[in-house]
Amino acid sequence: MPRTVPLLALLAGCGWNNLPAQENYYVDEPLWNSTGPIATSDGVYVELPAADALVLVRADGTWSPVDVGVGTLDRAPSPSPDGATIGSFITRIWCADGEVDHVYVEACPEDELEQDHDLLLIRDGAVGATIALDNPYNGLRWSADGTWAVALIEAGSRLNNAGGVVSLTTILFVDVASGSATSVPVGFAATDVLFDADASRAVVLSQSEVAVVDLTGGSPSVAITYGLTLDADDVVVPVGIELTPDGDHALISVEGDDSLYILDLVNPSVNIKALSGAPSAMAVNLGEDRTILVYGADARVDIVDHDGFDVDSVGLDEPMSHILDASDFSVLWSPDSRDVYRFQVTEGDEGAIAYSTTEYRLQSTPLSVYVSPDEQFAVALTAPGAIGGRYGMEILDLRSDGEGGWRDDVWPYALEGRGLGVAFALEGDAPQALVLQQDQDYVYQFDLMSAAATELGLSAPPRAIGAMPDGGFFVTEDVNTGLMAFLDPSSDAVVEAAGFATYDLLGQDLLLVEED
Amino acid sequence: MLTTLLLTTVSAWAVDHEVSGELGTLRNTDRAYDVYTSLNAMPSRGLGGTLALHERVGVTGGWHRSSRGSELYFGDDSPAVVAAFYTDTFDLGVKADVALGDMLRPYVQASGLLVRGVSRVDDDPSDPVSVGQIKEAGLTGGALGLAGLTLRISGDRINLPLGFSVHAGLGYGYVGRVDLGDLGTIKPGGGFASRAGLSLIF
Repeated sequence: MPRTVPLLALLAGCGWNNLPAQENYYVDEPLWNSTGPIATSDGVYVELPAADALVLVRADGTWSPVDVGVGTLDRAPSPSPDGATIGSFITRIWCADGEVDHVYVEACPEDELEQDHDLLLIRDGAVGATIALDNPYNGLRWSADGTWAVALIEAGSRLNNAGGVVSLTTILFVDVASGSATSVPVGFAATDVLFDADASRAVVLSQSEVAVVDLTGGSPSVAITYGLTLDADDVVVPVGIELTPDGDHALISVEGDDSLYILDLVNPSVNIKALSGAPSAMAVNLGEDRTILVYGADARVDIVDHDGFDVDSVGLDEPMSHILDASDFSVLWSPDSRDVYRFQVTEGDEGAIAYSTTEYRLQSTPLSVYVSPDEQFAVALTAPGAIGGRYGMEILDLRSDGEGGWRDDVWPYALEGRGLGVAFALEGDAPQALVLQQDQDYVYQFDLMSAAATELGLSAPPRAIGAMPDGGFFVTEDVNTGLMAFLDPSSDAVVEAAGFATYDLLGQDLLLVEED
Repeated sequence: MLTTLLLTTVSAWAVDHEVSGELGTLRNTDRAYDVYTSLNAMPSRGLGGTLALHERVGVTGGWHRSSRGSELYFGDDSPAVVAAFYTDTFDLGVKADVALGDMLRPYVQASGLLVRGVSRVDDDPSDPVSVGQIKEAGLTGGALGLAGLTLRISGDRINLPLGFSVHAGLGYGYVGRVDLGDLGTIKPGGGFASRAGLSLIF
């Protein structure tokens, strides 16, 4: 029997090691988006691009599809900041020739194909609201509390496949609770929307123009518009916008321009400050109530106070291009420099403002830098270099040395593979870094206080890591048919969910929506 | 209807007992099948038999397996997923033939079908227990009608207790859709059908 059973199985052509595969196919889109899952209180939403589907994978290892109806999901869904709602755009195609038995798109004459666009608001694994769109919007911005969503057309997106006339000057405000939507005319090619702390108004950034939208009335409406240029021939393209903590001013950096535009939202006016160059990053530090700017080509950091909007400059040894914001300090780093800075506004002699800069010297240039939630450490994943030619992880101690200064300790580690990402957990009071490495089928759990490390085994090499609202973590793994691990750092428990990426594998053709 | 016509117009009936090894094909233009192959047909191999219950009519039964699959590549650096689809088709029916001399026997056959469809999707076929394995299976029914010709050499002619025959038939098959769970549904064939094989007759 031990010999005859495999022989019979071979004759019948079954068994996992001899699956028939007479042909090869190349598929444009992956079965699942393993680097962009969205963690919510419901679980993790995963986009299936090849199947035009969305599935909800839960921490207990179960999963279920979200019924979005017939249509093509236009791009990765967007989560609200509170994690309660997922927004997703969908295009539905229907045939206007009156025939009711068409099922597939190619069955309809090309000139009879029509498109509708919807915005789906998804909650608890189901579509909670469907909002018909009059424009092929493809970008979504949210207020911090998730009460408002704004649909816009992303800059640079191609509209070749969008049917009908497309308005390029309107955006859509959606009241998430009621599902009501209001088109609001703003400037051409809106790129970003910021909300003030209580979501009573929104600042909309568009080409050469900034609009303030009042959200306190019955429906959103433009309260005031700021022009960023007096000459119609000049095109001002904003690239960054931040609101001051009190919400009274908006600070705008502009593409290829050394100026910082300061909009007074209370007494409408525009103040333009000259900077030392075009900033590569800008961040408002709430604790310091200042705006920090760095320049990729200039070894300096500029500080803008939010009272008189005076600009101070502090020299650095090397240019920085990225800012990580902590509660009352900032971490500055650049992928082109081995320097990392802890930068803080302090009080000097006789109450004068002073700046504290602590320089950390890495062994290799960083690929990415993360600050732990308790702000005591930073973790840099570094390129191959001085650490034995291997990818590295370097721990930066951001704590005070107790003598009015800050430690500049750096602890380098050589990794087994390229560092893919870091997430943080707390075990008691001890911050833990969870590190993913390319082609290594484990999560490296590193205690930042004691430097003790453990390995949490996975079934396959990881792709991405993310935090769950309940304090757990998910790790996507490099398996085409879909594999995700849920980690509980406190118990080292690992639960895996598999196979979700093959949902509707057999139904990937474009389908027509039945005409109403 | 063709069976009835033959039964009423031909007087020399002599269905053999037989055991056969067969090859077959059933047309499949279902779009879901395109995941597994670009072929619009399901080649199969199987075993069959006829039990002559009456001098003019026999009961037929058999089993056919079809297996097609493809390697799916997603982007340049992505390893392949193998997607395979198997069907096990069990048929039970009636067959009638007419003797044209001792060697030629045109026949007609009508069968009911029970089809089990199985899809296996594997992220790593080199590992028999990889975590990326998906298996879904479902059952459906159908019907098959064939008309063909048997070329036979009886045992009497060669002084053996067994004779030999070769047969080939063409016809039409219909099979309902199979629910393969989360993978979706697929129609495991429908349309032109053929079967041919070698038989021992007695």
